[in-house]
Amino acid sequence: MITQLYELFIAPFAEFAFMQRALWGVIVLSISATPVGVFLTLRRMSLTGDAMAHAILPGAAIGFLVSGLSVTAMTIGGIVAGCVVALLAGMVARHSNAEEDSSLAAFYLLSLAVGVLIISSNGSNVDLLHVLFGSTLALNDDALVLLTIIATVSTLALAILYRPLVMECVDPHFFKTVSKLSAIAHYGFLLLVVLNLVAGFHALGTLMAVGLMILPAAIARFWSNRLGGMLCIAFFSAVISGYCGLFLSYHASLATSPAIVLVLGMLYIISLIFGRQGGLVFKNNS
Amino acid sequence: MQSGGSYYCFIVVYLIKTDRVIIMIKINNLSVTYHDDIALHNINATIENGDLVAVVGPNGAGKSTLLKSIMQQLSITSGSIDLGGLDLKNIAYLPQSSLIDRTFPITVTEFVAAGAWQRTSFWQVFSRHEQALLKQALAKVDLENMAQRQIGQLSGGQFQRMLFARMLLQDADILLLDEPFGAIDAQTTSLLMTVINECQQRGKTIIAVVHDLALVQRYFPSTLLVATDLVAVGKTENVLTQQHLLQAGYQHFAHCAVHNSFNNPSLEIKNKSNLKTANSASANNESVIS
Repeated sequence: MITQLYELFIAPFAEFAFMQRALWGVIVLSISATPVGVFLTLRRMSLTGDAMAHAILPGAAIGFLVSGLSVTAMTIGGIVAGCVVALLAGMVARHSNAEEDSSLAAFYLLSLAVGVLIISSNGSNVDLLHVLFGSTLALNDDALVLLTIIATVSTLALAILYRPLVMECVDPHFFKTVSKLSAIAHYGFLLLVVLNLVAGFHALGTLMAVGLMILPAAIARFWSNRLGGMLCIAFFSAVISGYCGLFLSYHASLATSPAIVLVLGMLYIISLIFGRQGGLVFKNNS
Repeated sequence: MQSGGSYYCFIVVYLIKTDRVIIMIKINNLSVTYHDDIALHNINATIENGDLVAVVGPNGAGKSTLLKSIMQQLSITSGSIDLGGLDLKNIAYLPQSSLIDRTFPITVTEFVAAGAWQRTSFWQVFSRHEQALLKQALAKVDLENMAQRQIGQLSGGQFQRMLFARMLLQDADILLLDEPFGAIDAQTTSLLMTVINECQQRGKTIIAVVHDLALVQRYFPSTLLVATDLVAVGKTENVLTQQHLLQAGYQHFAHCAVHNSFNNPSLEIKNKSNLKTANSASANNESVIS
């Protein structure tokens, strides 16, 4: 019995190096991306995250054009493109109210179109699929090292930015009157979003990376009304989904990143129904 | 108005007092224009250190604009505001409408703690001293038993009290309050008024936009009446006269001002206390002269 369980749940990760790398990648990403995702959803900027994820695509595509499937080139391209859209989106968020969502939608449709155009006219469909949906099981050492470095930098930066960021989220007017860090908190945070999406796209692809950021945060909101609690729940739901996604992908031969995001999606639906904070079942009681 | 004699003494005391007051805010020929609309026109006023000033005027008179100009949140068309060497960090500003995200998962204590930002900044641990100050601030606005609640669970009045607690923790020299009693009940208003009075006693300079003229008469020693142009500024009883109110465009209230009561019985008490202060002041006055 125990051997069977071992065979089923542990063996794939114990025996295959590519599974270990994939699991490492997902855990590292969960540490750095989920807290960023929690702040994104709390600031009602989920759509901004999505827009930036799409914006990374043309940057990565240009990096790919210049130097082939080089992790570094694609990362730099992605960061540059992401920052451009982050700046635009940030300016939109700070200076206009009415048309924020439509201008964000415009940004990401434009970016996506440019990205797909570049890749499809210069690469193969396989390349396009790789960039769009990632290849968790094909993470090489370079990608893993880069992912870990980005995640470390991002987590440390978020720890330093934590207090200003909370102030900026809760009462930006007040924060502006007492501190000059308001703009730094805002744009620094957007930069962290970009960094995490770029790190995420190596493992999950540009389109799915945002899933590992937003979905755990959306799940956490249904279970805790404390910021600390939300950060923990988001992290654990991401790690559990990462494991389950890899597990499903291994045994059922499913594409990995959609499998991870699907597990997250199922957790989300369960939380939506049974969540203690505003879940459908408990809504009448709270 | 009381008898001419005591009224006269009051002015004399006021003049003597102005000899040694420190001017906190000096507004020189301030004009603010939004696009083509004139919001404020040639405002001249000085606000003394430790004064409690009500800014009064009809809707669209530029009251909020005045506070925002002091906060440098909008560009002044002409004129200047002199803060006497103080920097914006010495001003605590409670705007009329703010962008506070009431759904953010944060407790009342954490929210109020933000008031200590300039002393703790983004890295320092909250010292015992700061924690004691925080508790004190919460106690003053009667929110101790709400300390661990989420800010989203507070009622309108409780929320306003929480904003006051944060302001107390800020411990700024000047308090600018834009309609602090906007949508709250009489009980909360009187609690917050007590807090404001305490602040004044501790030497803070307070400027508040207030709509309720009875409240102004009852609690605010000085008033600045504005209707795009400055109508009058000075002691409340000299400013809120029928002539001034009519000039500012208050038809209804101006009529009430003749009886000098705004239908508020508590005002008589205020007048009596005025009489007392005037009497004791005249006694002081004599001793000064002799």
